[in-house]
Amino acid sequence: MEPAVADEFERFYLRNEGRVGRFVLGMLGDAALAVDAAQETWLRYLRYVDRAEPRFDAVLLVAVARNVVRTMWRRTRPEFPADLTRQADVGSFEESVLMTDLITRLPYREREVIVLHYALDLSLEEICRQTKEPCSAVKSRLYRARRRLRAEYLSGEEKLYAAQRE
Amino acid sequence: MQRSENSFERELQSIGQTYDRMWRRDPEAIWGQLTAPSQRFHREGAGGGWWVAASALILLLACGGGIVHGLTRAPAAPAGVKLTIIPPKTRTEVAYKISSQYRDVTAKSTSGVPAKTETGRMQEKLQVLMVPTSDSGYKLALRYEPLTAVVDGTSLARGYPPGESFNQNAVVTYVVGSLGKVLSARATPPLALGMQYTGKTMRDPLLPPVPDKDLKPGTTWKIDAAVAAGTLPGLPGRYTYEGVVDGYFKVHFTASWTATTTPWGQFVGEPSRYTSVGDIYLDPASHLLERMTERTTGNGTEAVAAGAAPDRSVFQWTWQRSR
Repeated sequence: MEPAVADEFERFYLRNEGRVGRFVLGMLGDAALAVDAAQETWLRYLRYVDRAEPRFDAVLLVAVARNVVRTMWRRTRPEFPADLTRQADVGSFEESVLMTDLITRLPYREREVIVLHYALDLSLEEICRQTKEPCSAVKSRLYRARRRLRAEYLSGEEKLYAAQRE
Repeated sequence: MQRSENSFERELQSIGQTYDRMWRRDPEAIWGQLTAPSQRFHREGAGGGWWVAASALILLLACGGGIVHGLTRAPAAPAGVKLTIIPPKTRTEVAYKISSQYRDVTAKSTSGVPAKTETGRMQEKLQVLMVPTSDSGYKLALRYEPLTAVVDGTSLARGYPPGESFNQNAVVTYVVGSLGKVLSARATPPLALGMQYTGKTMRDPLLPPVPDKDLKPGTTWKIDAAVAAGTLPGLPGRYTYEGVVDGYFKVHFTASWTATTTPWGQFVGEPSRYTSVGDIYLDPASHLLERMTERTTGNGTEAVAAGAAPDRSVFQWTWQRSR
Protein backbone atom coordinates (compact mmCIF):
# COMPACT_ATOMS: atom_id res chain seq x y z
CA MET A 1 0.00 0.00 0.00
CA GLU A 2 1.33 3.40 -0.91
CA PRO A 3 2.18 5.61 2.07
CA ALA A 4 -0.39 8.17 0.97
CA VAL A 5 -3.06 5.51 0.78
CA ALA A 6 -2.02 4.17 4.14
CA ASP A 7 -2.38 7.64 5.60
CA GLU A 8 -5.81 7.88 4.15
CA PHE A 9 -6.69 4.48 5.50
CA GLU A 10 -5.56 5.55 8.94
CA ARG A 11 -7.90 8.52 8.87
CA PHE A 12 -10.70 6.39 7.48
CA TYR A 13 -10.19 3.79 10.19
CA LEU A 14 -10.16 6.31 13.01
CA ARG A 15 -13.26 7.98 11.60
CA ASN A 16 -15.25 4.79 11.19
CA GLU A 17 -14.00 2.37 13.80
CA GLY A 18 -16.74 3.40 16.20
CA ARG A 19 -19.44 3.11 13.54
CA VAL A 20 -18.39 -0.42 12.75
CA GLY A 21 -18.36 -1.19 16.46
CA ARG A 22 -21.85 0.18 16.98
CA PHE A 23 -23.22 -1.75 14.06
CA VAL A 24 -21.74 -5.15 14.87
CA LEU A 25 -22.51 -4.80 18.55
CA GLY A 26 -26.10 -3.81 17.85
CA MET A 27 -26.62 -6.59 15.36
CA LEU A 28 -24.94 -9.43 17.18
CA GLY A 29 -25.64 -8.45 20.77
CA ASP A 30 -22.57 -10.29 21.90
CA ALA A 31 -19.38 -8.45 22.70
CA ALA A 32 -17.04 -11.29 21.78
CA LEU A 33 -18.77 -11.91 18.47
CA ALA A 34 -18.82 -8.19 17.83
CA VAL A 35 -15.08 -7.97 18.29
CA ASP A 36 -14.64 -10.80 15.82
CA ALA A 37 -17.04 -9.21 13.38
CA ALA A 38 -15.31 -5.85 13.59
CA GLN A 39 -11.94 -7.43 12.91
CA GLU A 40 -13.32 -9.40 10.03
CA THR A 41 -14.94 -6.30 8.60
CA TRP A 42 -11.69 -4.38 8.58
CA LEU A 43 -9.77 -7.31 7.19
CA ARG A 44 -12.19 -7.70 4.33
CA TYR A 45 -12.26 -4.00 3.68
CA LEU A 46 -8.50 -3.91 3.49
CA ARG A 47 -8.67 -6.54 0.80
CA TYR A 48 -11.11 -4.41 -1.15
CA VAL A 49 -9.22 -1.18 -0.80
CA ASP A 50 -7.16 -1.44 -3.93
CA ARG A 51 -10.16 -2.38 -6.04
CA ALA A 52 -12.75 -0.10 -4.47
CA GLU A 53 -13.81 3.07 -6.19
CA PRO A 54 -13.91 5.33 -4.33
CA ARG A 55 -11.29 3.72 -2.24
CA PHE A 56 -12.55 4.79 1.15
CA ASP A 57 -16.27 4.61 1.16
CA ALA A 58 -18.38 4.46 4.32
CA VAL A 59 -21.24 2.89 2.39
CA LEU A 60 -18.99 0.09 1.21
CA LEU A 61 -17.65 -0.32 4.73
CA VAL A 62 -21.15 -0.75 6.14
CA ALA A 63 -21.96 -3.14 3.33
CA VAL A 64 -18.94 -5.23 4.28
CA ALA A 65 -19.97 -5.14 7.93
CA ARG A 66 -23.48 -6.23 6.97
CA ASN A 67 -22.12 -9.21 5.07
CA VAL A 68 -19.85 -10.18 7.90
CA VAL A 69 -22.64 -9.92 10.46
CA ARG A 70 -25.06 -11.85 8.28
CA THR A 71 -22.56 -14.65 7.86
CA MET A 72 -21.78 -14.77 11.55
CA TRP A 73 -25.42 -14.64 12.46
CA ARG A 74 -26.23 -17.59 10.24
CA ARG A 75 -23.34 -19.53 11.65
CA THR A 76 -23.69 -18.80 15.33
CA ARG A 77 -27.11 -17.34 16.12
CA PRO A 78 -26.14 -16.37 19.63
CA GLU A 79 -28.68 -17.41 22.19
CA PHE A 80 -30.72 -14.81 23.94
CA PRO A 81 -30.75 -13.06 26.22
CA ALA A 82 -27.74 -11.37 24.78
CA ASP A 83 -24.77 -11.07 27.04
CA LEU A 84 -24.61 -7.33 26.71
CA THR A 85 -26.40 -6.79 29.97
CA ARG A 86 -23.87 -8.86 31.77
CA GLN A 87 -20.97 -7.07 30.24
CA ALA A 88 -22.16 -3.54 30.64
CA ASP A 89 -22.11 -1.50 33.78
CA VAL A 90 -25.62 -1.37 35.05
CA GLY A 91 -27.13 1.17 37.40
CA SER A 92 -27.75 4.42 35.59
CA PHE A 93 -26.90 2.56 32.46
CA GLU A 94 -29.61 0.03 33.05
CA GLU A 95 -32.29 1.66 30.98
CA SER A 96 -30.02 1.96 27.98
CA VAL A 97 -28.91 -1.61 28.34
CA LEU A 98 -32.52 -2.72 28.37
CA MET A 99 -33.01 -1.02 25.04
CA THR A 100 -30.02 -2.76 23.51
CA ASP A 101 -31.35 -6.04 24.80
CA LEU A 102 -34.73 -5.42 23.24
CA ILE A 103 -33.15 -4.46 19.94
CA THR A 104 -31.17 -7.67 19.93
CA ARG A 105 -34.41 -9.62 20.26
CA LEU A 106 -35.94 -8.07 17.16
CA PRO A 107 -36.16 -10.14 13.99
CA TYR A 108 -32.92 -9.80 12.04
CA ARG A 109 -34.08 -7.41 9.33
CA GLU A 110 -36.00 -5.20 11.72
CA ARG A 111 -33.01 -5.07 13.99
CA GLU A 112 -30.82 -4.07 11.10
CA VAL A 113 -32.97 -1.15 10.09
CA ILE A 114 -33.16 0.06 13.70
CA VAL A 115 -29.39 -0.16 14.14
CA LEU A 116 -28.69 1.55 10.83
CA HIS A 117 -31.15 4.33 11.55
CA TYR A 118 -30.60 5.00 15.23
CA ALA A 119 -27.11 3.76 15.95
CA LEU A 120 -25.46 4.79 12.69
CA ASP A 121 -27.67 7.84 12.12
CA LEU A 122 -28.47 6.85 8.56
CA SER A 123 -31.48 8.55 7.05
CA LEU A 124 -34.24 6.54 5.47
CA GLU A 125 -32.88 7.33 2.03
CA GLU A 126 -29.39 6.32 3.03
CA ILE A 127 -30.68 3.02 4.38
CA CYS A 128 -32.49 2.40 1.10
CA ARG A 129 -29.25 2.99 -0.78
CA GLN A 130 -27.36 0.82 1.66
CA THR A 131 -29.77 -2.09 1.50
CA LYS A 132 -30.74 -1.56 -2.15
CA GLU A 133 -34.39 -1.84 -1.23
CA PRO A 134 -37.39 0.33 -2.03
CA CYS A 135 -37.82 3.07 0.51
CA SER A 136 -41.41 2.08 1.10
CA ALA A 137 -40.30 -1.36 2.27
CA VAL A 138 -37.62 0.07 4.52
CA LYS A 139 -40.01 2.63 5.91
CA SER A 140 -42.66 0.08 6.82
CA ARG A 141 -40.05 -2.22 8.35
CA LEU A 142 -38.72 0.62 10.45
CA TYR A 143 -42.28 1.39 11.55
CA ARG A 144 -42.93 -2.24 12.50
CA ALA A 145 -39.65 -2.47 14.36
CA ARG A 146 -40.34 0.71 16.32
CA ARG A 147 -43.82 -0.49 17.20
CA ARG A 148 -42.53 -3.83 18.41
CA LEU A 149 -39.71 -2.22 20.39
CA ARG A 150 -42.04 0.26 22.01
CA ALA A 151 -44.47 -2.44 23.07
CA GLU A 152 -41.68 -4.52 24.54
CA TYR A 153 -40.12 -1.53 26.25
CA LEU A 154 -43.33 -0.46 27.95
CA SER A 155 -44.42 -3.96 28.87
CA GLY A 156 -40.92 -4.66 30.19
CA GLU A 157 -41.53 -1.97 32.77
CA GLU A 158 -44.70 -3.64 33.91
CA LYS A 159 -42.94 -6.96 34.20
CA LEU A 160 -40.14 -5.34 36.16
CA TYR A 161 -42.55 -3.75 38.64
CA ALA A 162 -44.47 -7.00 38.94
CA ALA A 163 -41.24 -8.82 39.74
CA GLN A 164 -40.27 -6.18 42.30
CA ARG A 165 -43.70 -6.44 43.99
CA GLU A 166 -43.27 -10.17 44.29
CA MET B 1 -39.39 5.71 37.28
CA GLN B 2 -42.27 5.02 34.99
CA ARG B 3 -41.25 4.10 31.48
CA SER B 4 -43.02 6.30 29.04
CA GLU B 5 -43.17 7.28 25.42
CA ASN B 6 -40.68 9.97 26.24
CA SER B 7 -38.18 7.66 27.85
CA PHE B 8 -38.63 5.17 25.02
CA GLU B 9 -37.86 7.84 22.47
CA ARG B 10 -34.92 9.12 24.47
CA GLU B 11 -33.36 5.70 24.85
CA LEU B 12 -33.88 4.84 21.21
CA GLN B 13 -32.44 8.12 19.99
CA SER B 14 -29.38 7.69 22.16
CA ILE B 15 -28.81 4.05 21.30
CA GLY B 16 -25.70 4.97 19.30
CA GLN B 17 -24.13 6.50 22.40
CA THR B 18 -25.10 3.43 24.39
CA TYR B 19 -23.34 1.16 21.92
CA ASP B 20 -20.38 3.51 21.97
CA ARG B 21 -20.13 3.20 25.72
CA MET B 22 -20.32 -0.56 25.50
CA TRP B 23 -17.80 -0.68 22.71
CA ARG B 24 -15.42 1.71 24.41
CA ARG B 25 -15.74 0.05 27.75
CA ASP B 26 -12.68 -1.83 26.72
CA PRO B 27 -10.94 0.51 24.32
CA GLU B 28 -8.92 -2.44 23.16
CA ALA B 29 -12.00 -4.49 22.55
CA ILE B 30 -11.54 -4.75 18.85
CA TRP B 31 -8.20 -6.30 19.49
CA GLY B 32 -9.48 -8.75 21.98
CA GLN B 33 -8.33 -9.19 25.50
CA LEU B 34 -4.88 -10.46 25.85
CA THR B 35 -2.70 -12.66 27.82
CA ALA B 36 0.24 -14.73 28.18
CA PRO B 37 3.88 -13.73 28.08
CA SER B 38 4.52 -13.25 24.45
CA GLN B 39 8.17 -14.02 24.59
CA ARG B 40 7.26 -17.64 25.10
CA PHE B 41 6.62 -17.78 21.44
CA HIS B 42 9.92 -16.26 20.64
CA ARG B 43 11.72 -19.30 21.83
CA GLU B 44 12.73 -21.88 19.41
CA GLY B 45 10.48 -24.82 19.65
CA ALA B 46 7.94 -23.05 21.79
CA GLY B 47 5.04 -23.42 19.46
CA GLY B 48 4.65 -24.97 16.11
CA GLY B 49 3.72 -23.85 12.69
CA TRP B 50 2.15 -20.50 12.69
CA TRP B 51 3.11 -19.42 16.12
CA VAL B 52 6.68 -19.77 15.07
CA ALA B 53 6.06 -17.78 11.93
CA ALA B 54 4.15 -15.16 13.85
CA SER B 55 6.85 -14.99 16.44
CA ALA B 56 9.49 -14.66 13.84
CA LEU B 57 7.60 -11.82 12.34
CA ILE B 58 7.47 -9.98 15.59
CA LEU B 59 11.04 -10.75 16.38
CA LEU B 60 12.14 -9.30 13.17
CA LEU B 61 10.08 -6.24 13.83
CA ALA B 62 11.49 -6.06 17.30
CA CYS B 63 15.09 -6.42 16.46
CA GLY B 64 15.63 -2.75 16.07
CA GLY B 65 14.10 0.01 14.03
CA GLY B 66 12.43 -1.35 11.02
CA ILE B 67 10.53 -0.22 8.09
CA VAL B 68 7.15 -1.72 8.03
CA HIS B 69 5.54 -1.94 4.69
CA GLY B 70 2.32 -3.49 3.70
CA LEU B 71 -0.89 -2.27 5.18
CA THR B 72 0.57 0.61 7.07
CA ARG B 73 2.58 3.65 6.29
CA ALA B 74 6.30 3.33 6.64
CA PRO B 75 7.70 4.94 9.75
CA ALA B 76 10.76 7.10 9.53
CA ALA B 77 13.29 4.53 10.64
CA PRO B 78 16.35 2.94 9.19
CA ALA B 79 15.86 0.00 6.91
CA GLY B 80 16.51 -3.46 8.16
CA VAL B 81 13.20 -5.12 8.49
CA LYS B 82 10.50 -5.22 5.93
CA LEU B 83 7.11 -6.70 6.32
CA THR B 84 4.97 -7.18 3.29
CA ILE B 85 1.46 -8.38 3.52
CA ILE B 86 0.88 -10.31 0.35
CA PRO B 87 -2.57 -9.74 -1.12
CA PRO B 88 -4.61 -12.86 -0.51
CA LYS B 89 -5.37 -15.03 -3.49
CA THR B 90 -8.36 -16.59 -1.88
CA ARG B 91 -10.84 -15.38 0.64
CA THR B 92 -9.31 -17.32 3.48
CA GLU B 93 -5.68 -16.99 2.66
CA VAL B 94 -3.44 -14.51 4.31
CA ALA B 95 0.20 -14.45 3.55
CA TYR B 96 3.08 -12.29 4.45
CA LYS B 97 6.75 -12.07 3.87
CA ILE B 98 9.29 -10.75 6.26
CA SER B 99 12.66 -9.74 5.03
CA SER B 100 15.51 -8.62 7.12
CA GLN B 101 19.24 -8.46 7.11
CA TYR B 102 19.26 -11.83 8.83
CA ARG B 103 16.90 -13.91 6.79
CA ASP B 104 13.68 -13.97 4.87
CA VAL B 105 10.61 -15.62 6.18
CA THR B 106 7.64 -16.21 4.01
CA ALA B 107 4.51 -17.42 5.66
CA LYS B 108 1.19 -18.32 4.26
CA SER B 109 -1.91 -19.72 5.81
CA THR B 110 -4.85 -21.13 4.01
CA SER B 111 -7.90 -22.37 5.74
CA GLY B 112 -8.26 -26.09 5.41
CA VAL B 113 -4.64 -26.91 4.82
CA PRO B 114 -3.54 -29.32 7.50
CA ALA B 115 -0.30 -28.61 9.24
CA LYS B 116 1.54 -30.90 11.57
CA THR B 117 2.38 -29.38 14.90
CA GLU B 118 3.49 -30.62 18.24
CA THR B 119 -0.03 -30.64 19.51
CA GLY B 120 -1.45 -32.82 16.83
CA ARG B 121 -2.95 -32.45 13.43
CA MET B 122 -4.36 -29.04 12.89
CA GLN B 123 -6.23 -27.20 10.28
CA GLU B 124 -5.44 -23.65 10.87
CA LYS B 125 -6.11 -20.20 9.68
CA LEU B 126 -4.16 -17.09 10.35
CA GLN B 127 -5.33 -13.59 9.74
CA VAL B 128 -3.14 -10.58 9.95
CA LEU B 129 -4.43 -7.12 10.55
CA MET B 130 -2.27 -4.07 10.85
CA VAL B 131 -3.81 -0.81 11.83
CA PRO B 132 -1.96 2.39 12.53
CA THR B 133 -2.33 3.90 15.96
CA SER B 134 -2.67 7.57 16.72
CA ASP B 135 0.94 7.80 17.89
CA SER B 136 2.34 6.67 14.55
CA GLY B 137 2.81 3.13 15.73
CA TYR B 138 0.89 0.10 14.67
CA LYS B 139 -1.29 -2.53 16.06
CA LEU B 140 -0.69 -5.85 14.51
CA ALA B 141 -3.24 -8.49 15.18
CA LEU B 142 -2.57 -12.04 14.28
CA ARG B 143 -5.65 -14.15 14.52
CA TYR B 144 -4.76 -17.75 14.83
CA GLU B 145 -7.61 -20.11 14.38
CA PRO B 146 -6.95 -23.78 14.34
CA LEU B 147 -10.27 -25.00 13.13
CA THR B 148 -9.78 -28.49 14.40
CA ALA B 149 -6.99 -30.13 16.25
CA VAL B 150 -6.83 -33.81 16.90
CA VAL B 151 -4.91 -34.77 19.98
CA ASP B 152 -2.02 -37.10 19.41
CA GLY B 153 0.36 -38.92 21.68
CA THR B 154 2.46 -35.95 22.66
CA SER B 155 -0.60 -34.08 23.79
CA LEU B 156 -1.49 -36.92 26.07
CA ALA B 157 1.22 -35.74 28.42
CA ARG B 158 -0.53 -32.43 28.58
CA GLY B 159 -3.69 -33.97 29.84
CA TYR B 160 -5.67 -34.33 26.68
CA PRO B 161 -7.05 -37.74 25.85
CA PRO B 162 -5.79 -39.02 22.50
CA GLY B 163 -8.18 -38.89 19.62
CA GLU B 164 -10.21 -36.06 21.11
CA SER B 165 -10.57 -32.93 19.12
CA PHE B 166 -10.68 -29.41 20.37
CA ASN B 167 -10.81 -25.96 18.97
CA GLN B 168 -8.66 -23.12 19.96
CA ASN B 169 -8.92 -19.62 18.68
CA ALA B 170 -6.60 -16.89 19.63
CA VAL B 171 -5.76 -13.38 18.70
CA VAL B 172 -2.33 -12.11 19.48
CA THR B 173 -2.02 -8.39 19.28
CA TYR B 174 1.26 -6.61 19.15
CA VAL B 175 1.56 -2.90 19.52
CA VAL B 176 4.47 -1.84 17.41
CA GLY B 177 5.95 1.58 17.97
CA SER B 178 6.86 4.00 15.27
CA LEU B 179 10.40 2.70 15.24
CA GLY B 180 9.26 -0.83 14.72
CA LYS B 181 9.75 -1.83 18.34
CA VAL B 182 7.21 -4.11 19.91
CA LEU B 183 5.77 -2.15 22.79
CA SER B 184 3.37 -4.71 24.11
CA ALA B 185 1.84 -8.01 23.27
CA ARG B 186 -1.35 -9.59 24.39
CA ALA B 187 -3.31 -12.63 23.34
CA THR B 188 -6.83 -13.83 23.64
CA PRO B 189 -8.05 -16.06 24.99
CA PRO B 190 -5.49 -16.17 27.73
CA LEU B 191 -3.27 -18.99 26.72
CA ALA B 192 -2.61 -19.87 30.31
CA LEU B 193 -6.26 -20.26 31.00
CA GLY B 194 -6.79 -23.36 29.00
CA MET B 195 -8.43 -24.22 25.77
CA GLN B 196 -11.94 -24.52 24.65
CA TYR B 197 -12.29 -28.22 24.93
CA THR B 198 -15.37 -29.86 23.51
CA GLY B 199 -17.42 -26.87 24.42
CA LYS B 200 -16.17 -26.14 27.87
CA THR B 201 -13.18 -24.28 29.13
CA MET B 202 -10.56 -26.50 30.57
CA ARG B 203 -9.07 -25.49 33.84
CA ASP B 204 -5.82 -26.94 32.67
CA PRO B 205 -3.33 -24.08 32.71
CA LEU B 206 -1.21 -26.17 30.37
CA LEU B 207 1.16 -27.07 33.11
CA PRO B 208 1.22 -30.80 33.62
CA PRO B 209 0.27 -31.98 36.07
CA VAL B 210 -2.14 -29.35 37.31
CA PRO B 211 -1.54 -28.94 41.01
CA ASP B 212 -4.55 -29.83 43.09
CA LYS B 213 -5.29 -30.96 46.59
CA ASP B 214 -4.14 -34.48 45.82
CA LEU B 215 -0.76 -33.47 44.52
CA LYS B 216 1.89 -33.71 47.19
CA PRO B 217 4.34 -30.86 47.65
CA GLY B 218 7.70 -31.95 46.38
CA THR B 219 6.25 -33.72 43.38
CA THR B 220 8.57 -33.27 40.45
CA TRP B 221 8.02 -33.81 36.79
CA LYS B 222 9.91 -33.19 33.59
CA ILE B 223 8.70 -31.57 30.44
CA ASP B 224 10.63 -32.31 27.33
CA ALA B 225 11.01 -30.00 24.39
CA ALA B 226 8.30 -31.66 22.38
CA VAL B 227 5.75 -31.04 25.08
CA ALA B 228 6.95 -27.71 26.38
CA ALA B 229 5.23 -25.72 23.69
CA GLY B 230 1.97 -24.54 25.04
CA THR B 231 2.82 -25.25 28.64
CA LEU B 232 3.59 -22.77 31.30
CA PRO B 233 6.13 -21.33 31.10
CA GLY B 234 6.71 -22.96 27.76
CA LEU B 235 10.14 -24.27 28.61
CA PRO B 236 11.53 -27.78 28.68
CA GLY B 237 12.93 -28.63 32.08
CA ARG B 238 12.16 -29.81 35.57
CA TYR B 239 9.18 -28.61 37.51
CA THR B 240 8.45 -28.99 41.20
CA TYR B 241 5.21 -28.39 43.00
CA GLU B 242 6.13 -26.68 46.24
CA GLY B 243 2.68 -26.52 47.80
CA VAL B 244 0.44 -23.62 48.70
CA VAL B 245 2.40 -20.44 49.28
CA ASP B 246 0.64 -17.21 50.15
CA GLY B 247 -2.60 -18.81 49.11
CA TYR B 248 -1.41 -19.87 45.68
CA PHE B 249 -0.15 -23.09 44.18
CA LYS B 250 3.53 -22.52 43.70
CA VAL B 251 5.50 -24.35 41.03
CA HIS B 252 9.24 -23.92 40.77
CA PHE B 253 10.97 -24.63 37.50
CA THR B 254 14.46 -24.98 36.12
CA ALA B 255 14.63 -25.08 32.39
CA SER B 256 17.22 -25.17 29.66
CA TRP B 257 16.43 -24.14 26.18
CA THR B 258 17.95 -23.05 22.94
CA ALA B 259 16.80 -20.10 20.96
CA THR B 260 17.86 -17.74 18.24
CA THR B 261 16.51 -14.88 20.30
CA THR B 262 17.13 -13.53 23.73
CA PRO B 263 14.40 -14.06 26.30
CA TRP B 264 13.22 -10.54 25.71
CA GLY B 265 12.86 -11.14 22.02
CA GLN B 266 16.00 -9.75 20.50
CA PHE B 267 17.04 -11.72 17.49
CA VAL B 268 20.63 -12.88 17.81
CA GLY B 269 20.88 -15.17 14.84
CA GLU B 270 22.88 -18.12 16.03
CA PRO B 271 21.09 -20.44 18.46
CA SER B 272 22.20 -19.89 22.03
CA ARG B 273 21.69 -21.91 25.15
CA TYR B 274 19.75 -20.36 28.00
CA THR B 275 18.88 -21.48 31.48
CA SER B 276 15.80 -20.23 33.25
CA VAL B 277 14.87 -20.58 36.89
CA GLY B 278 11.59 -19.28 38.15
CA ASP B 279 8.33 -19.67 39.99
CA ILE B 280 4.76 -19.86 38.81
CA TYR B 281 1.82 -19.05 41.05
CA LEU B 282 -1.62 -20.34 40.22
CA ASP B 283 -4.94 -19.51 41.77
CA PRO B 284 -6.01 -22.66 43.64
CA ALA B 285 -9.66 -22.35 42.70
CA SER B 286 -9.44 -21.41 39.08
CA HIS B 287 -5.92 -22.57 38.28
CA LEU B 288 -5.43 -19.28 36.53
CA LEU B 289 -1.97 -17.86 36.34
CA GLU B 290 -1.60 -15.27 39.06
CA ARG B 291 2.01 -14.26 38.71
CA MET B 292 5.33 -15.54 37.54
CA THR B 293 8.98 -14.69 38.03
CA GLU B 294 11.96 -15.87 36.07
CA ARG B 295 15.72 -15.41 35.89
CA THR B 296 17.40 -16.37 32.67
CA THR B 297 21.09 -16.57 31.88
CA GLY B 298 22.87 -17.40 28.70
CA ASN B 299 24.76 -15.96 25.77
CA GLY B 300 26.59 -13.61 28.10
CA THR B 301 23.47 -12.06 29.48
CA GLU B 302 21.34 -12.35 32.54
CA ALA B 303 17.80 -11.11 32.73
CA VAL B 304 15.01 -11.21 35.24
CA ALA B 305 11.37 -11.05 34.39
CA ALA B 306 8.21 -10.75 36.39
CA GLY B 307 4.65 -10.96 35.24
CA ALA B 308 1.28 -10.72 36.83
CA ALA B 309 -2.34 -10.91 35.84
CA PRO B 310 -3.92 -8.35 38.15
CA ASP B 311 -7.36 -8.58 36.65
CA ARG B 312 -7.10 -12.19 35.62
CA SER B 313 -7.42 -11.32 31.98
CA VAL B 314 -4.23 -9.56 31.05
CA PHE B 315 -0.88 -11.00 31.83
CA GLN B 316 1.65 -8.24 31.97
CA TRP B 317 5.24 -9.18 31.67
CA THR B 318 8.36 -7.10 32.09
CA TRP B 319 11.95 -7.96 31.39
CA GLN B 320 14.96 -6.33 32.94
CA ARG B 321 18.41 -7.02 31.69
CA SER B 322 20.89 -7.10 34.49
CA ARG B 323 23.96 -7.60 32.39
